[in-house]
Amino acid sequence: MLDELVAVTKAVAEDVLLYNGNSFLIPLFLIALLFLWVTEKDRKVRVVLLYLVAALGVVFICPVYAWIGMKIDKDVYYRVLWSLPMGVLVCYSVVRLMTRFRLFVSKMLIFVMAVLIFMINGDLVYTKTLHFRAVNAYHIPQEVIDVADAIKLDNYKPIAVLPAELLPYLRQYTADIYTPYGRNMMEPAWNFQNTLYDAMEGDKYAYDVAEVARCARNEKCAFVVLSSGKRMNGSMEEQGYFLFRFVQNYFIYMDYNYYWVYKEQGLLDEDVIEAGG
Amino acid sequence: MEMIRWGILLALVLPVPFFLGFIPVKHMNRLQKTPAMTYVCGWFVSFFLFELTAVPFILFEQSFTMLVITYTCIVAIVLLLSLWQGRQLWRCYLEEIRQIKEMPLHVKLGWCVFYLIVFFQMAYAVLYWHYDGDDAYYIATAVLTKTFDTMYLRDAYTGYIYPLDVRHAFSPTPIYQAWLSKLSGIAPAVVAHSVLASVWLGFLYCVYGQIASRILWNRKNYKPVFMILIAVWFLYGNISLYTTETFAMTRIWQGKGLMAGMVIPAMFLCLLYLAQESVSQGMWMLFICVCMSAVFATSVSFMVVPTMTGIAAVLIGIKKKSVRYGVDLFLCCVPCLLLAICFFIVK
Repeated sequence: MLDELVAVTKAVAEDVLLYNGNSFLIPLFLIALLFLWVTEKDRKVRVVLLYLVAALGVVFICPVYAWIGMKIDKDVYYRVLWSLPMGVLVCYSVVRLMTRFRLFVSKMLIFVMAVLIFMINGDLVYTKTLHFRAVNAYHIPQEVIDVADAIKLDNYKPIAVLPAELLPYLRQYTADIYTPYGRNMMEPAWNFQNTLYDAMEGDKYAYDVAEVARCARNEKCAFVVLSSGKRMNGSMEEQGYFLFRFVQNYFIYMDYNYYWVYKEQGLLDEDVIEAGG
Repeated sequence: MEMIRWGILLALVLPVPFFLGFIPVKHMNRLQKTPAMTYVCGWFVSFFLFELTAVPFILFEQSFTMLVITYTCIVAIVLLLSLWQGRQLWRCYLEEIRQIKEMPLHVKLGWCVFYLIVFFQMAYAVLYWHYDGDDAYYIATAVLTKTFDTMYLRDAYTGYIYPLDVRHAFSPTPIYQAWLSKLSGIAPAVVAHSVLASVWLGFLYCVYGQIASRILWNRKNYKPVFMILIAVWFLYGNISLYTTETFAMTRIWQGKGLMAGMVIPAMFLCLLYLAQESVSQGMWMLFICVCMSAVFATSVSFMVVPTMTGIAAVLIGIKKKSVRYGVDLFLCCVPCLLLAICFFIVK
């Protein structure tokens, strides 16, 4: 039990350090808390912004509480730190500090200093993260929409396998196409295994076409989407597929087996029938 | 047709939550009767009603259409009730607007700067997109819900049939977005990324604005200063992947972003008012709605809400020298605790 509590304490410390990053967020928060502790006179505000916040901080780092929390979900325990209103405390401290000065220049100086500290302490949310200029209202890459529109059938929901870079977005656009796996495969920590995924993504520069075709058939995929950025060792046509479309640098192949079955059942759109011959 | 769809969607995220806020705001103190507080209350009333309605439908594996019909009827009834109850509130709002004229010039200038920063953030949210892997679950769930008319019964990653996803079933934010999508006809990804990403930023600042009104009640001229600092704090809040600010600024449409950005600050807002000597009935209503909204947002709330409410109940009870008051305060999170019990039973 004691070993477990020590491990939990370490995990909490790690969470706090990860939350803090390379900044002085936590020290800034503690300074604000201390400053308000000394200067705040409103007892009602003190109870909520000081005593409650301090108590929450103590509880969250308490090994017993953390042990229970981590039993529920270890990966997201850091989220309890959201309950400490760091932004409110720091900004309120700055305002309170400003009110202690009479001269407008002094107030402005504190304000400018605070803004500078915020800027130095943190990173601009728009530059550090993965932000891109939106090309459509869905806020997903246009090639996903074009590829999905090409594969979608009016009367049937086919199974398709896609390159990994399209996986996180496909179902944000449409649920009319099934996939044998999704973004879950791309998270190594989640430990998902799929031979088709290995065939598709195992080699960064080339596809072993025979293996891709074999695994795709095992997964009942009617369509196989391959990136033109990768070399193809072999030909999909030799494996019983035909090139249905070339969209946004992606080859979309259809399995002839499914083509005939779907065609007989009247499930295919005109453009697919035309491409299949 | 497209214009009508967008009109419906904008109506569902702007005036509808505003009008829904009339009921709690009607029972609040004069100083709390502001348009921003009404909008904040309206969203939490919406989430509260949705959580109560959706969870049974999800757990009993009912169709999404049934939920849409039921929830829409409930919202329509509450909306009519709100409009009737809140007809006297317009006078308060007008007075509030009139007060703008009386503000000193430098305060007006401060507000202009703040609104410019917020406008920039909202425009950026619409014009730029941010890659977040979790959308492959959240938005996909909304799309699957709408397409297959089932809730949490399809694997978001493959689309295949799946046993009920209990872990997420109690926090149906994606289902709420599917409801918005169903009523408007706009795709869930567009609803989340192009509309909620921007509108909920406004909602976030409304919550912080109300906190500012409470803590700076005797220094009103400093309110824009506080709000500018908050806006800059969020703008430069990308300290790590885990901070409140990162979640609020990059994935506000997900339940986690909602929890970090709006729900927890709203809890503090309520507690700040609940710690006062005289507490309005409306604030109690809002607090109950916020506690429930926390569950609507994320299952982490099963831990966070009772902890926060429990400690606050003890501290405020001591401050007020009233055990009864502390108990009353804690009772507000009982619905959340009951859902937590259901969650662990079903899980």
